[in-house]
Amino acid sequence: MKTGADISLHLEDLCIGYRHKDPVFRNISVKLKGGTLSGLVANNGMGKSTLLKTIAGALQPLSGSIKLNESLLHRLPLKEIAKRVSIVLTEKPQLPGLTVFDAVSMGRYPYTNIFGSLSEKDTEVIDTCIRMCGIQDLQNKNCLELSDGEFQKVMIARALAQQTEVLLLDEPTAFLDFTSKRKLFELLREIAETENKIILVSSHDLHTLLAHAHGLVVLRPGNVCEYLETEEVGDVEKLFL
Amino acid sequence: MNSQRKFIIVFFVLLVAFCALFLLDIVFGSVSIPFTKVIAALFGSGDATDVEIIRSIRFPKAITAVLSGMSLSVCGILMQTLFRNPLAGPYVLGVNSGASLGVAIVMIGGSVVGLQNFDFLFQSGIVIASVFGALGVLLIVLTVSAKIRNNMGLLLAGIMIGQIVSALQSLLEYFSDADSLKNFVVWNLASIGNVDMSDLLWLAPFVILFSFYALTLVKDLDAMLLGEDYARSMGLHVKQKRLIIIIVTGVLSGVTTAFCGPIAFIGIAVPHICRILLKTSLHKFVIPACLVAGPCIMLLCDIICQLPSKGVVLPLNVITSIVGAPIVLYLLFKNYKFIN
Repeated sequence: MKTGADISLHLEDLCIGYRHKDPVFRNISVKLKGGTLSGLVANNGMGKSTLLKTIAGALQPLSGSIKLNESLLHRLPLKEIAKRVSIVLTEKPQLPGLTVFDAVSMGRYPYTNIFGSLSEKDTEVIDTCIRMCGIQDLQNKNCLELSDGEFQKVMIARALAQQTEVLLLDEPTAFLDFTSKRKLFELLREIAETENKIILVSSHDLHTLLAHAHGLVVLRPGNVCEYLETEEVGDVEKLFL
Repeated sequence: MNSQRKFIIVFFVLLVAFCALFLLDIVFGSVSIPFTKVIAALFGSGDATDVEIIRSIRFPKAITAVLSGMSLSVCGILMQTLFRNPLAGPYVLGVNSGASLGVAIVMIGGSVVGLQNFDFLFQSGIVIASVFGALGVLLIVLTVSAKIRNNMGLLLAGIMIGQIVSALQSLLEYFSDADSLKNFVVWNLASIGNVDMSDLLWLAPFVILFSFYALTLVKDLDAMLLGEDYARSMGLHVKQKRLIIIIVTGVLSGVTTAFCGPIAFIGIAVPHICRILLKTSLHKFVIPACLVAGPCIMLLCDIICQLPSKGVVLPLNVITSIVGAPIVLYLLFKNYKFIN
């Protein structure tokens, strides 16, 4: 197994956006290491979600490269990317008729057969992820009956069940109260450190990020991108200037 | 009770109901034939008239009910998942309207050139036109979907295209002569009684092949419940699967509509009934249940159509709507949290 130091996600001169449209952000160069929780911060419309979707393989880079442990991520088949990068999106899908266990088990999609049958190993992984997120009491509950915070944990457990080296989260705290936010970030940091994962979280909540993340990826106007260790961040008011 | 156990119980109950309804559908008819004679006639023994009625009329009709029930309920579940919309069905995409327009062109337009005098040509023309009508609309919807990337936009486009196609159909009806209009109106009421054994040789392979093919899509359909972005992030080629689902739906609904007319309600209702019975949306449970529940509902509706006896057979669409809609309404209200 690779140690945290061995795992790295390297974005090189990455240009992101949608085909046939102007790029959303150019020249993103940043290197993230395993075992770290990083925040992704930028003003609205700067391309946080676009960047996360591009890393996750949902969008192709317009130019530049995304390397995970020296392999070019966006050249891999979609299913291979899914085994290496997982994402939790802002949107909250309505899942009537699915239990928490069913939702988490969807994370095993890249590993199961054509009928989605779960092997013993799959069930073990799902149970572990459910326990890791502390939602074992909810596993037979219908997803529609969950609070926003509980549902967020379910989606994180689903992403963990994909057993990827990289976990991306797009504004996971948008609808959470202060306590839930704090608990979520504690959980994410613990997962990053104990599982040697690279976790990148986009958020507008700078104070919570600074309290829990190891560093910040900052997207500034003028296509300026930089990585700052948490200790290096000075006045948050001036961060985007 | 876990989903797997619940599925086994529900599936077993549905199978028993299916066997009972299938036999009842053959027993019921305008001519009263005792149950024992029905069974004997099915195996070719007994009174020659009974054998003729059972083997040439009632048996093909029951098989048609089974096939159309399977086909339409599979179409329904595929559409509902693809659009992530509980109101989706073959009608919403305008696919059935396309099939109906194809049939209208052959039935009404064909009468102008005397096509109805050539039985084989007329019949096969209806089938081909219906399938092409369904696929034609699908091609238009697909072209639109290349521009409109989200499912809601595609759904709206489907409704609009369906409206245009229905308007063209009305225009054809307006200019048709009395006889061909009457034929088309009767076909439009939907019936499974006009399908004979030779028609079944066309209908059965398509329905069986495409309906069972849907079983291989269960895992992808489950992923699609999370939405396109999530599905893609889990390794699903969304565009490719979307195309496959649309083709399966188009062929199933085109072929079924050609032989049975545009049957209402089954496509939208049966998937809901299955989800509520199984208390899950997982396709590995819902699709197999639909393959049995769809035929059950169709057979039940056909039995009710026969109830007045004395040679009177009620229009199928009237019964599918009267029987089905209240069941769905009841279930939706009772389990509104589940359906959301």
